[in-house]
Amino acid sequence: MPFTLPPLPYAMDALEPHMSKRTLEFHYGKHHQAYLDNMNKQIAGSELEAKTLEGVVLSSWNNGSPTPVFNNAAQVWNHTFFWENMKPNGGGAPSGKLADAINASFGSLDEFKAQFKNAGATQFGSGWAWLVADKAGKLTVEKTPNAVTPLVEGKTPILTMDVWEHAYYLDVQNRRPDYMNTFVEKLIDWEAVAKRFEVATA
Amino acid sequence: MAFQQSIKILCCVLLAASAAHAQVQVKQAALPYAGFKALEPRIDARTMELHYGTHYAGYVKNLNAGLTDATASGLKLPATDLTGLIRSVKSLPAPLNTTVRNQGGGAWNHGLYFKHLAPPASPSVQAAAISPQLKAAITLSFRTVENVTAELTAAAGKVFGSGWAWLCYTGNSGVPLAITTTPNQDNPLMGNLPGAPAVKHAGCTPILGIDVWEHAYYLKHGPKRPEYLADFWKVLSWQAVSANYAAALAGNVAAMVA
Repeated sequence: MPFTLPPLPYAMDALEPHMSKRTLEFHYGKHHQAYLDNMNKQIAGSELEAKTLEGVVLSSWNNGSPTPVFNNAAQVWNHTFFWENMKPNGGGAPSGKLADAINASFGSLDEFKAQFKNAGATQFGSGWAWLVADKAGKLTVEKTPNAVTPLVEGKTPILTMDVWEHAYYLDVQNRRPDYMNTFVEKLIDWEAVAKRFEVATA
Repeated sequence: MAFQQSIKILCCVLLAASAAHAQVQVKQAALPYAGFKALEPRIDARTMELHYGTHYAGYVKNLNAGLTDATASGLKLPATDLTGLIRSVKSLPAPLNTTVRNQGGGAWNHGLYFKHLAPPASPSVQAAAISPQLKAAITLSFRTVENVTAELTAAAGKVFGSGWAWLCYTGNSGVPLAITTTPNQDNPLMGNLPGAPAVKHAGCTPILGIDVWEHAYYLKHGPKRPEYLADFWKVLSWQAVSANYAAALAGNVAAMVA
């Protein structure tokens, strides 16, 4: 059975003015869809079809010597995760256990934001910035190139930000810092992040 | 008399001292065509403005800042020109090695790129502009011009993430040209870099480069890289590539990007 894309959690124009409808049309409708279509073609008729998406990602990672399936599978996974951690009228601040964990791990929310944006800024070329939780609730910021995801290190991401140019070029062109500020202040769905934190530390 | 001699010697010493700490700074190559609109309708003016005026300019600025910091800390640079620095990137200490790799690579690569484009109406974009010398090399290595452009297009299409596709001079007289790709702003002149995947034909000299970072095409084409590649061939100056090939043969690589 080929995989399918979950629908976007909101309308294509729902994240305006922070992320344009045109960006979502390309990013979800073309990039994300193409990764899915290409992955399905690659795994057709193989035992990978019977796995979960995470299973395909981990299997194709092949302990650090990724097969051609990996780039597509991981990008399918990464992008679904990315849509789920944004919402219209997002931003603000986390609360409860997640807020406590951020303070414990970074000192303050502002310090977390600075480190997260620094990860996005210093990921040269294409890639992702991540917030990762361990079972004890310790949080760390990571960055990965291209399609790589903390999943392959056995880690549990709870937040991600796409820093491939296609994520922001139509809206702010080369100004990645502006995009990252907007993402952090206006787009993050902290409730979704908190739910993932709960699952990670259960 | 002795006093005047001392002054002369002092001046010489001061000049020599300042020369030893002379700044190595790199400049953007000038566009060899009349402004950002010149490649329309193939490459849009807004992309040219951003690509040349912000991305390329940024690499040069960041490289120069890194070189200033390195020299100020007393480091003796192994080369005083951009191509020399690129070739010696592996021998540089941190953090200059990363700066030269990423920002210096960006500066070199974009110098080559912008200098070998031409307006679509220019005769230099026609295959007839290929020099006999380059034509012979293409025949030996790929048989036809159609083959080399098709293979370069395929290679450029396959690059995942940010990077470049290159037509390179190998130094091998039997097969003088080869195609390779590099990620991000890496360049075959850097050789194989620690921690990076091996580069086919590492060490070869690029004479033609196709930028496939999304910033090269996203405003006009969105995700459709194949359409950008079709546009690219309409503004690629075979005259400039021929000159690059001659320069590579003559060992004057720096001229390609200055």
